Amino acid sequence: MKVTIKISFVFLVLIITKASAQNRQASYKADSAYYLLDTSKTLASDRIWHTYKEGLVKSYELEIYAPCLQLMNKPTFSYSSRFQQIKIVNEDVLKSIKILSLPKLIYRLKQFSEEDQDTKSTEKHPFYLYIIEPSSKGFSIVKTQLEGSGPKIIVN
Amino acid sequence: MGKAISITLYSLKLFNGRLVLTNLKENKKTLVSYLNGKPYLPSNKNSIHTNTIKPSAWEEQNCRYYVTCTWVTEENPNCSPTYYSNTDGDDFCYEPDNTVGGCYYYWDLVSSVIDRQCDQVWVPDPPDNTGGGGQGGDSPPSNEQVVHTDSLAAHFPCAVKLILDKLAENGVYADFVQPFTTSQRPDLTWTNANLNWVPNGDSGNIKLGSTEVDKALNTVNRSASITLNTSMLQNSSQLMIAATAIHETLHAYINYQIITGGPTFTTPPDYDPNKPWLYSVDAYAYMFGLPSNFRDHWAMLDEYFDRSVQILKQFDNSAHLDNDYVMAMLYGLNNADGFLSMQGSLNDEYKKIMSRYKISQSQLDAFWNTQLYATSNKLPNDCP
Repeated sequence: MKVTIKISFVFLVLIITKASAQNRQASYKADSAYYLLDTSKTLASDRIWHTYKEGLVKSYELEIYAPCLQLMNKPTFSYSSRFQQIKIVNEDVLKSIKILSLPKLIYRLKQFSEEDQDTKSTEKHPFYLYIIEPSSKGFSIVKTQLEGSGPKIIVN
Repeated sequence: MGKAISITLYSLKLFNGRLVLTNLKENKKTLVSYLNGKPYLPSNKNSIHTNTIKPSAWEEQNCRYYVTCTWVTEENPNCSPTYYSNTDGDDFCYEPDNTVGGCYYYWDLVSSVIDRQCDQVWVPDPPDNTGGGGQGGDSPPSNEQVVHTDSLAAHFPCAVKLILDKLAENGVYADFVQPFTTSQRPDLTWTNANLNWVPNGDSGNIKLGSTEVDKALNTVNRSASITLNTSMLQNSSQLMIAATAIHETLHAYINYQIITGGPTFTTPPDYDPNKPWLYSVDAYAYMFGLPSNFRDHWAMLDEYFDRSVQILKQFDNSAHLDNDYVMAMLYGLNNADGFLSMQGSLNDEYKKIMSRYKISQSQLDAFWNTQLYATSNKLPNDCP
């Protein structure tokens, strides 16, 4: 009984905490873009995108190197299947989406990374990349986040 | 008479960029990065990867899509089969031709399943810029580590050599660091800075270290940056510095674990009291945004405390009393980060440990003062 009351109390407190956390999140400024990725049509030796999965997290790593700009150094876009659902769209929908070319994506990332460098860690904002891939039913779209982008907290 | 072939020689002496090299014999292509005319493995270009063993060739994952297509046709006694399944290297299904089954008819596509197949591929050495052939690279590099310690090593080389490197020899600690030791994300970065410190005595106002992680809910950023207090590195015992390093590493590890694996817990009615305590706390943290400090400290007290104590004891070659390791690891674990509604619960958990080891608050204060303002066993200035 005691345990039930304790859990209920924690639950109530945490609902409030969640609501306030979501409100805070909603105020975050974010940058985003769409990109069409089709590794199956590129020779393995020519690919500069590499994908890997760990637990619930799937990552898309872009093999470019910029030691002086942390976010541009092997920029990695990831999502967790816990939070992000893959959507399927057809070709007509795809035509209505403004998709960035790779050079433009890299240029956009460079701009974002330079701004990020000059922003306080608590005020940084996330960069979201909607990655589109061919699928058997059309095209899949998933929202990924540039790893390292976004506001930070400190624990000690 | 054929036209004379003109050969132009290009110097790669100052070339920066990438070249595609084609192996004419095997018809394989390799993309090679050049910096100032020399081929390099890009991941090693970053100077902050101090512990990286530099391979001249590397392993990477190559993935391809393949599609399995199933076709069906009207049954025809003169032809067989009526079903046909093929797997293509492309992601399109091509209708079987009329040689299938021996006679001509139309096929209908009834299913197509796309899957991804990934192989670990060993990328061999590129030829060097003198025109020679490949060299070395017969096997993948081993023990590659990309925990970033350059910044800390620049100011406190002995903190890296005598604390972090020595801790890494412990198998349990190595497990906590392992997710950060590949060339892929996430990364772990160590540095030092001036954090809260008081000259004498009031150890409660001291901040020995901090770990920076992503703030947003639903994040995927598992990298962490650990800062050790400069005053602690200058004044405290190696035992206390090691305890702090373990503590901060656990912050990074718990953050990584929660994002990567995540709890299976979804709603309170699913609560399973038989699962480890972290199971439910992680769930709450995910769903409702518990403050990370409170969440991590409770996990450290409950799930990881005994392991932390053993790591510290092994690090110290059992030179202290067992309770000394307990007291060193207890530092800061009752900090709920202002989460007042749960401060009492955290205190209870903290006191359970004190009670289990028969440690009083005055013993804790005395031990911490001795270790934080150490007169011996501090980090040396020089670490050859």
